[in-house]
Amino acid sequence: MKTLIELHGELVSGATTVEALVSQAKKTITEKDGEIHALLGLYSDALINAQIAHAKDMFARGTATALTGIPVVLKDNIVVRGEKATAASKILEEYVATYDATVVKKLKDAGAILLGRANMDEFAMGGSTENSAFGVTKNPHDATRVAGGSSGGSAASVAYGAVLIALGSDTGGSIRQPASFCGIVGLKPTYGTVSRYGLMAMGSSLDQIGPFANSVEDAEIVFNAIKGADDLDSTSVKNIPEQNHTLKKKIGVPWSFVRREGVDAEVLKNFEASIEKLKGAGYEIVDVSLEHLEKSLSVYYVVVFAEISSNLARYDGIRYGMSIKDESMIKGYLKTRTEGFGPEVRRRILLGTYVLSSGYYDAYYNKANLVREMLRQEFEKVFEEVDVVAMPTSPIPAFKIGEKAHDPLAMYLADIFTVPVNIVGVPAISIPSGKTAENLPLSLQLIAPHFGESTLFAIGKDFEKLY
Amino acid sequence: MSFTREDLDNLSALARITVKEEEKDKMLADMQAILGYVSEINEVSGDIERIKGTHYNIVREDVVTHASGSNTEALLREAPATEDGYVKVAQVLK
Repeated sequence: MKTLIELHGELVSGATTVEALVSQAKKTITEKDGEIHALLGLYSDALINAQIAHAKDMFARGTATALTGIPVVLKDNIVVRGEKATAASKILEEYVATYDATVVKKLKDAGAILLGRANMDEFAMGGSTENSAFGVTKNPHDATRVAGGSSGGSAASVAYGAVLIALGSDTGGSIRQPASFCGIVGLKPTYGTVSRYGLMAMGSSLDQIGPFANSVEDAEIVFNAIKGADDLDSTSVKNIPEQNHTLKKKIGVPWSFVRREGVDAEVLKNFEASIEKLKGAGYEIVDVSLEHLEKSLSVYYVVVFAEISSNLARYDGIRYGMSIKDESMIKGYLKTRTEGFGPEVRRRILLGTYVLSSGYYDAYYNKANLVREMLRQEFEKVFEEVDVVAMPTSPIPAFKIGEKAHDPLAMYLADIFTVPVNIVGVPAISIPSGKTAENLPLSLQLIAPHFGESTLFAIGKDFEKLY
Repeated sequence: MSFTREDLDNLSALARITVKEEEKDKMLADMQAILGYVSEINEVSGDIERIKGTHYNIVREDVVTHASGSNTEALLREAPATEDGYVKVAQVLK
């Protein structure tokens, strides 16, 4: 697989052309997407052709960037003006976006070729892309297994070679876990570094857009292109602090948390081997303990349910999207939401309504925010001692399609290693670390302090060399 | 804290989501299991009032930032029903 830098060199030298890259991507999609179903559709020819012309113009003027002429796939909860954006929900099946997300504007300005819309769990709720209203995405390494989720389509499209890079969103692991299941790199940036304007909101205090790529270097290039302050997102960070680049060469591992019930034996063995390799590469490994890490899942789900019930109130069948008419507006509203949302979305809205209701608010929502703050402080303290905290990305490799679909709680428990990152708002990266005996990809997850992406890239590149 | 069938009915009215009769048993069991799990956060003790202070809202100036009408056509095109440049809804007041 070529890197972005190599491909950019070929575009500059004329060894390949923007048109050739786009046709090659379309050809791969035609050949493979019937089986994998990573994509929900391609963007209009008008958009793709305009982008090709823009990219060629940038090369002609000498203003091309490493992303100019590079085809990209976007998770279908990121809006592109004049193009469909469904969030893999029936309620938005025919919705056409009226504006560009900030990340879309940035990719367009960089000359990237936005090619198509990636499948996902409906409104990004799930960990397997089985909750898509438009069919499951299969894992390119084993088509009987899930690609992960919720950004399963983005991950699979990079893994089967349709594109070199894709964007997803990560609320509780939705970039890192599918990246891990599909054997590629996935980055969840620091909360507030990449604008969420134009990302359909799920958990507003947790959501973050980030890249999928074949290498840490490629992920870094995309991150640098999409980050930055944005007046259109009030949570966007205005002044990102400079990083201190002197690494302590120390990695923290919360061993008692990692060696827990429910972690697959091969995952644990692979993780221990990764840590040994990092030791061999000169890193000191420190056993760390974070008192409230065990409560992460509960904190995460209470917060995300609450924010979902609030954010999804906007889908009412009145201003846009699916609309089922009935004798009164309220009855139509009820029918639209009941028919338009899938079971997981309805379940989470109901749970969110419950945890926010009078009498339960203190017991659930306020308590969750208390534990959230405690955990944030505990991470801060650990990062005084270590550069990064390492954990597996997922306690299990890609599971069989249908295996967990009937049991939502079992599905939630598989998020144990990814959700702490979103609660605290720090950045984390998932990097391939080998395969199981059945040839399923496994990954190492590295977590850095707020705004510590450069640390993730530096240690991540060291780690990549060990494989 | 037990979560009952009556709670489910109340919530579905509040959330404007109908849970169909045939879905109720499964929905109730799933929600009970999930709420049972996340209730573990009640074991944690600490000063909630102190934490509340760290969250705050950010609001922008309440000013018009677009030229009047610049998005009207694109937005109305997505509305299920329109009339004379307005979104049309079923009668609310009788």
